[in-house]
Amino acid sequence: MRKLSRREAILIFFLGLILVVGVGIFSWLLPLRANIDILKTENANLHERATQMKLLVERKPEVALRKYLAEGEVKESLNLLSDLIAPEVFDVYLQGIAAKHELKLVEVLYGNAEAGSPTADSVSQNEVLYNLQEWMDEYLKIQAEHPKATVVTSYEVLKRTIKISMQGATNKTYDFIDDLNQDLKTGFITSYTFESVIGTQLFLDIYYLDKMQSSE
Amino acid sequence: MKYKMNLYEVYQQQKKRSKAFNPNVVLVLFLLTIALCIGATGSYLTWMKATLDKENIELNDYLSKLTLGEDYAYVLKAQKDIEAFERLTQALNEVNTVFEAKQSFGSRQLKLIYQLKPSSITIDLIKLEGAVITISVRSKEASSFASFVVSLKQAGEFLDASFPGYQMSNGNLYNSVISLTLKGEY
Repeated sequence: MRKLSRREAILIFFLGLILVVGVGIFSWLLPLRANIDILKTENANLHERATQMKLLVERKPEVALRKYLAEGEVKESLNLLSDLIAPEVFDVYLQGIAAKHELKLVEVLYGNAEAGSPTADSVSQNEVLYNLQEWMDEYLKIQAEHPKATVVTSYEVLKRTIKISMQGATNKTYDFIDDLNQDLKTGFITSYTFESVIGTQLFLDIYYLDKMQSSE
Repeated sequence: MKYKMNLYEVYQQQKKRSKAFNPNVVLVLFLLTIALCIGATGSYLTWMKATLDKENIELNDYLSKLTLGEDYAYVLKAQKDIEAFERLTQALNEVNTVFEAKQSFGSRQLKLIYQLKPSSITIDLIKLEGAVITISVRSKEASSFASFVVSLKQAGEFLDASFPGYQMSNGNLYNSVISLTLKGEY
């Protein structure tokens, strides 16, 4: 076999070097490194998730307590609202307080349930405005009263209007009204008419929510 | 001549030396060293990859067990429930704020009307619409309407009390309508 010349040997060395570096580094080490980087990122994410989940599971008693308290707050807020006004149930109550105050119910009409956002409109005095008013107020040391803002909500609840016509002693009617106002948490008398010959007529708006839980 | 030239011996020594320091062998050794280094690094990296792979599989198993566990499911459900409860409470509180401000017409104002009514006045009709009470009255004394309105104003229960006047009808009886505006939010 012929002995390699120095030039050939150097050429083969460089070819070998290219082969080793090319295959070893570029085709093996670098993809391996990239793979490891991906695995490291995945590992870090998994560790973080595991820590979070572990912490979450460890917080079970605290979460359970928070849930209990939050549920209690819902119940407390719901208790401030009237219950579902079913005519057949409400009528028993109405007949009861009418009988208690010796009143005769002439007409009771239950309107349909409808959705509505309650408002509390501030009542303001209708005043005639005139251009000397400001100076007169200044002279009389009258401070312009700013009317209270109307309290509104965008949330809707259910509302049912009930018309009640009755006959009986006037003072008994007042007791009847007081009982209604006391018993109905979110019931409001919007209209009242008393005529000495006919009797008393009331329009009652009751805002309520259906608080019964569905039986699943 | 004491020293003899042995050219063959010199040649042999040079050949031995040249064999010992063969540049080709050096190059091969250099290449082998690089290959070894790459191999060692590669082995270390392969080991590291295997370790990470194993660890990730174990972590995934742990997470799967945790996810399927009752405690985790309970906590997730409870957190969702808490969010829903808090949302509802917030909405209910807003609604209840309106109801707290909203006033209902009660008997207090009616009782006051009868209490302040001069004995000469007879009330035929009391009508409330919104926050305005209209009272239809009759009396033999025309002056009693004004004194009734003054008493109602002085009571401080109403935002305003007014009457547009009166007129005589049915012989000696005067009729009038008194308007009252309730205070507050309705």
